[in-house]
Amino acid sequence: MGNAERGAVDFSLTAEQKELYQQQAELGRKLSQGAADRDRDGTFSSEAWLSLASSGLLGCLIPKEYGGQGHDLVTSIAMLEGFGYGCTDNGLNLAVNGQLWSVQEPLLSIGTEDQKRRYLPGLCRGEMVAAHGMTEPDSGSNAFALETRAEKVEGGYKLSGRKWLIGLGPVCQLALVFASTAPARGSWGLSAFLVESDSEGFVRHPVRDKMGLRSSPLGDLEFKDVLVPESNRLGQEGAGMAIFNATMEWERAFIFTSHLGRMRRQLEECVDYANRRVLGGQPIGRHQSVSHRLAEMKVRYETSRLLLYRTAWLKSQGRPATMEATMTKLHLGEALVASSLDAIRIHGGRGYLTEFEVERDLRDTVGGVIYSGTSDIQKNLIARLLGVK
Amino acid sequence: MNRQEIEERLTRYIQDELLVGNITIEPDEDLLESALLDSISIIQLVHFCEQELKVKIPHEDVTIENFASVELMGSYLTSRIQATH
Repeated sequence: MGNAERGAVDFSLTAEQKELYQQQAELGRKLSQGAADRDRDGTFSSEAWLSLASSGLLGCLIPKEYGGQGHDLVTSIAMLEGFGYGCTDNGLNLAVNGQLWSVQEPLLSIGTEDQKRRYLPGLCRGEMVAAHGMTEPDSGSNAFALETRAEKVEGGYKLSGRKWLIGLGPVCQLALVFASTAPARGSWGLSAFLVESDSEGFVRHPVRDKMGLRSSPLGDLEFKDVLVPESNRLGQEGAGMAIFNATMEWERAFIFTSHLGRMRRQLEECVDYANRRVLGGQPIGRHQSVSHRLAEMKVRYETSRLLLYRTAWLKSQGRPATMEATMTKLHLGEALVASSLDAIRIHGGRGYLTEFEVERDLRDTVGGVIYSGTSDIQKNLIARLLGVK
Repeated sequence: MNRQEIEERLTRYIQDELLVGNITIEPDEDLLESALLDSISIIQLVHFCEQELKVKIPHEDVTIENFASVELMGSYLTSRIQATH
């Protein structure tokens, strides 16, 4: 009986998982072509998205009967990490994980059979792109202070309001939208809805420019009395808060999975550069100011990987992982920024120039201490879970 | 575990672990309307039910109808236990 069968911790990948990791890394390398152009122009590549679908990555976790690959959680994590190891387009890395953890997973775990059959196959095939619509201009970290309303009408709900900072919003065909069905009940009056972008009154606003992750479009979604059929409500009326909390646990745990792979590759690139770059007659890696940074980057990568895979292992065992998911989000978010800054310092002037594609990682990682709950919010939650009242 | 035991354990957990200060709650007291429990408290409470009371709670069941008071929680959890055994 192996470790996994006994339910013990075993973070080593099987031969199959390693193979899938390598396959995804190869695809990631291929799709990295043009990453600098997409970053400069702020464009989302539909072609790359379809390649991701063809490779099975968009449906890695989704059962075969809904058009996915039917892999278990740890295998899916290995595939996503592998893709990020190869892919330098961090926007694409975020987009895959954003859709998977914040829309496909809740649809799979909470959706009705009809909802799963209607939407999951299209999402796995890349024919549909999905966005998660919670944040509003006046909510943000106070996530439940929503103004978007869903009024009960004959046959369904009339949705009105505006969401902003919505990843993949400008290109989505489906949005998981949280709205209040009973405003007097506050956060207990929220409900979740699957809303199709071709519904009358659904407005996808243009892409908002941002610092990094520019190949993953971000924008506002507006709902002008959009009629949403009752069959498109996800979960019970009033269960929106719990559904959001559950979704956020998945997102906090795994939103950085592909970025973890990128972190590993970034470290290897920095080691390579430290050995190649000669200054004053010796490689710069001989200087402790460089080698110590590399050591710190390695520790950040390994601690990040341990946290993320441990969280995956807990969730695959059906155990609660709120604390672990929150620590993973906090640690990875901060580690990615710190290591990306170290990468620039190690590369010196070349690291600062856009053409060497080192500085992009820093621009791409700053958002990670804000989206999916800021680092400060993660600390608040960890403290509360520790018993701090 | 019967309903009375469940409600007693829930009351102790809420009073000792979730509320600040020496607050005593009544079984039928609305904990949500009075804002005694916030969204993080609910996450903790659901974990308590799953870990300590061994009742698996689907996300879609975490509604005001089932969690507004200790009495309602007791009723919901008792029915869950009966339905899953």
